[in-house]
Amino acid sequence: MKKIITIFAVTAVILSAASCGKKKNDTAVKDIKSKSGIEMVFLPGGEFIMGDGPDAHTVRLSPFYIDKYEVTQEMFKKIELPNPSHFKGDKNPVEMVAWVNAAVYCNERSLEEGLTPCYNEDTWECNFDADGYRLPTEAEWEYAARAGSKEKYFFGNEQKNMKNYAIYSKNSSGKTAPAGTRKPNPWGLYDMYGNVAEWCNDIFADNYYKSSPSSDPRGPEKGKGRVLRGGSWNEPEEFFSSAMRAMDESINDACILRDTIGFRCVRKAD
Amino acid sequence: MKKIYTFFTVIVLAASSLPAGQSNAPAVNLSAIKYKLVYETFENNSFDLCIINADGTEKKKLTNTSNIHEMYPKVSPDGKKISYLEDTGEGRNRKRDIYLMNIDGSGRRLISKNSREQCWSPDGRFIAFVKSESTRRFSLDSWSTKGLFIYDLTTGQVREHANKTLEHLYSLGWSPDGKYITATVLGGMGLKHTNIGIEVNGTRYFLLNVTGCRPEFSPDGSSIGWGRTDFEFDIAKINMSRSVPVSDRDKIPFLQVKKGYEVYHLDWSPDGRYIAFSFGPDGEQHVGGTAKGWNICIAEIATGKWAYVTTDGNQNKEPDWIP
Repeated sequence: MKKIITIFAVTAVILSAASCGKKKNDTAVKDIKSKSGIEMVFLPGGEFIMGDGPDAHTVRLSPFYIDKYEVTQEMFKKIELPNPSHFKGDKNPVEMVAWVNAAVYCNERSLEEGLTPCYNEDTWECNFDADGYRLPTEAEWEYAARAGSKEKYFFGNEQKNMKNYAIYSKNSSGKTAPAGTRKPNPWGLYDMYGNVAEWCNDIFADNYYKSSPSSDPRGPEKGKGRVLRGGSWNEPEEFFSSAMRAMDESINDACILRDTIGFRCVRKAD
Repeated sequence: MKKIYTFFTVIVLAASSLPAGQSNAPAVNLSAIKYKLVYETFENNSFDLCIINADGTEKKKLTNTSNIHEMYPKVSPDGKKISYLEDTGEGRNRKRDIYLMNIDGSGRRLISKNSREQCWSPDGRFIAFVKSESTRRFSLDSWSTKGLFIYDLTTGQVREHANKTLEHLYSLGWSPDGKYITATVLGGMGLKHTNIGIEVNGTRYFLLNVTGCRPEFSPDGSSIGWGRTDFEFDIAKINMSRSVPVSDRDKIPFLQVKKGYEVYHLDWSPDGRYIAFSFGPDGEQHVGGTAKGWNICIAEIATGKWAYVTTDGNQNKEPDWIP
């Protein structure tokens, strides 16, 4: 099944490239390494159906780079940021991380690579024009998770296959696992479902899809919580899908940090 | 005593603006309280320390610096000195150091660089503190710490606690019997987020069976108060020699606030009859955080009555009683 999806995805990308007249190397999913050696995946821009059921709508995205793995505790330590994780392990994803500290990590990683930080650390507004790292928009996350698929999961509609792709309540032993211990999605991204739920840059609004722009949506301007995607090690398989939305208000409050929340980074590619 | 606590189980603070010493009913008679408080306040773009009577009168600034944040005052047991934090610089280059001064604001001197979350030993001879975890960039996160250190005021020497695995401790408190230091820990020593007791002269630490932040002993050591969440203070009997120092059955919800508001920085009065705390709209209550509209309040333990001490809303936080 994985091979079939991969073929479809690659075919779609090639067709899209042909129709847009872009260079082939701008439209192919491609593994890269960042300047500091972090594995990322280049995702070409494109259109996809975001959401499901009555929420389904077409979204067009610019190309971007995304981390191949959730940010690990080793990556946090490398740039000397305090590691708040409950389940310690260099290869395990960082958790108990507030949204603002995920943004701080993005800024520090940007500085480490000589890039311009995206986040204003007084207002936490994101400068999308900066070339540094940031959290994915909700649309970017779902685009990356779907990897060209239109089904409920990136591996189809068979829930029983979840165990091959995700760390979740049935196989987690009550804690996180080292990043990348299950199969990746067709675009080579690991742990898009499970292990830790992932912070997105967007402020959460339940009805945002009704008014969101069709190109590069970046979330509503106001709201209490931030979007979470992907589910975590303690959630049952029924919870997961590429379109499943969640939110959390533990943006900067140490008293309500959760060992189920982590993140991965993106960077603009155009 | 439990019945009294239970009777006043949940005090819900209304969010109205009230003059000093008054509140919506029932109000506590602040003028009957003989003690003063020290707290941090934000004016002219920096935090300074203020001293004030419990009834809100005779407010006086102890520090008045435009480019240094003075915060987190902790008054010595004899009431003669204040240890406090000085933050200098901005953003990622900010530095946080522990200083000591006389109760009138004179005689300031550095105790330890890159350090925070200090508390006094009950005999006033030592100050326990933790060091900032990262030297690469400053973190406002209270838990971003490493180690546990003890400064001896007699010798000026600092020693590290015998347990070198301690990390991510904050909100330190010293038990009135001098044997233990309590702390909140987040993501340290394999713990998620809880409160622990640490032997001062040993290596052992243990869970208090209290979740939340900032455990604070009553002066006689028989009770503790803490923030179960940012919206609620709880109180309980405590016995540090028991395997479970705080029993679930002894936990009493003492004070809650409406959604959209928070309470923090609980501190027992020297006679054990009151707690001082800070209260305000959702904000960044941690040390150095922006908390517009926050004020110092006092609640009476026995009756549950409470009242504002300050009303200017100038990010007034971290009240500490002067014995």
